Amino acid sequence: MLDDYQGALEDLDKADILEPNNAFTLRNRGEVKKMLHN
Amino acid sequence: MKRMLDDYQGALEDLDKADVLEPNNAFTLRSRGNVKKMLHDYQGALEDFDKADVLEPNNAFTLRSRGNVKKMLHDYQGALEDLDKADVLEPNNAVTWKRRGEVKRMLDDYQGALEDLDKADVLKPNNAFTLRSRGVVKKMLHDYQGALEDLDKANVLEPNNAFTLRNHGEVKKMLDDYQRALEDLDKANVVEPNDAFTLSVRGEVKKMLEDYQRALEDLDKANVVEPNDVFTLSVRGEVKGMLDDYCGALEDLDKADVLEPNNAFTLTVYAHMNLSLNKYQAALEATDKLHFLKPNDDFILQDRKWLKWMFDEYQPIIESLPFNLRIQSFTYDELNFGPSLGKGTYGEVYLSSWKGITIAIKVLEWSGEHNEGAKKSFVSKMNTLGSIRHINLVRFLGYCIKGLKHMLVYEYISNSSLDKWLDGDKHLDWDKQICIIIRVTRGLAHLHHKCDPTIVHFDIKPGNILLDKDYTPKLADFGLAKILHGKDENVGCAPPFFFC
Repeated sequence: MLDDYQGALEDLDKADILEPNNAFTLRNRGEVKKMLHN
Repeated sequence: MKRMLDDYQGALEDLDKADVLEPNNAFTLRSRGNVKKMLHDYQGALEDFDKADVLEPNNAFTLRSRGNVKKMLHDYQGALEDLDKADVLEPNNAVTWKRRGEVKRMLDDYQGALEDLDKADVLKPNNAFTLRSRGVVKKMLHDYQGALEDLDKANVLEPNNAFTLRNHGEVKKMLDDYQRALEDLDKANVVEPNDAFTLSVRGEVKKMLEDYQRALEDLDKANVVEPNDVFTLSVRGEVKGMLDDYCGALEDLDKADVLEPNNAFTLTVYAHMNLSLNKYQAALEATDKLHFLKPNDDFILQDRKWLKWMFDEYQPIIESLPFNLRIQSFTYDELNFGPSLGKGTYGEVYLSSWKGITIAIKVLEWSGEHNEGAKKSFVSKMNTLGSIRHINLVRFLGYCIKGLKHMLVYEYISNSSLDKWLDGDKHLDWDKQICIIIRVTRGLAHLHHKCDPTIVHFDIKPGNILLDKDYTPKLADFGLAKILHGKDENVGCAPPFFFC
């Protein structure tokens, strides 16, 4: 875990555009968004 | 704050979609549970954690998070079970310890809480939550200095936290630092204006600072938020008593007593209130209960002895007097002068008896003017003096005028004056001396705050402090400076040496 939540969020945003409605992407993006504000 | 909530809202939307696309995924549920918790949807969070626990049991993170949510929902026992399991599955986790410490605090297991919070602090120092919680635990264990240190640190790490501030304020109050306590409680009140605990404690602090009207305002507000809080009711009862609203005071104290019978604080205020009203039986009953609760408390023991004597022996005699609550005008012939008891600032005092009651007569070295106007003025002043009643003031029974001689009649206090105890062969142990000091200040406070007009003694000294058979001190010679010499008795003008 590198704790680069901002970088992770950008990647997951791109993944969501390329392949929308992917549960894995969404799950992890949700978690990353949460971690960004913990 | 709104931005943060908006971001959690974004996270929630992603996790909701993930849950639709791939239901029953423990990771999604656990993560969504935590997001819901951050959005204060504790019930929704609990449902997600429950599902995650079924799908993937014995996950320390799920259990730790669910324990936290159960705590927020006030299910402290359930929270403790989850956190205990999390601690077994993943030992040495500071988050588990600090949360379990907080839950144990809520369950009144202060020693267990302290152990967990100490461990959490070692593993992860400088955590505001841990320090704040431990500070409160130490407060509950009466380690006020330790509590102050923890809360100081928590306050530096996370300023403007209302929980830290109000507990900081309460600890300072316990350490008698009322002015600083008030500053903290004011800040806490700005952050959370309707917190009943803050208002109630601030009310008590204002009471200690003798700002009774403002204290009452805070306690009224606290009572609106939490009408059945026994502490608020008891303190408000005391404050109303200080403001001479005895009916309101007894109403509050009665309510507090119904809600929580045998509360030592309520009983103490109740006893003092009834004492101020000369209701010795009610005061004695309250003191009896206090004695049962705290059999080794020397203060209670002494108050009880004194009240018992007051009720059994003194009250019937006083009630048999023709002028029950008024002072008596004695004729010279009915007073039987005995031996001299000593000479004071205003004249010689003689032992005497009247209708079987032992009394003391002070023959004033003062004659005043010999005319009808002067006599009327003297009698009026005697009536004022006779209206002053307090357990720690020598009771004035009446007066006698014979020609130019003026005599004052007092109850007889059998154990001589304090100077005889301090200078002679007699011995007073330290505890008794402390009791005496405290009680003398009560008598003085009565003169300063309960008498209209205010009375300043002007001559406090061991020779004017008389002790009864139970060593209850009674201040003598009060009010005479004004009556005999017209001294200005404005408390604000009295220099400090008057009270030495």
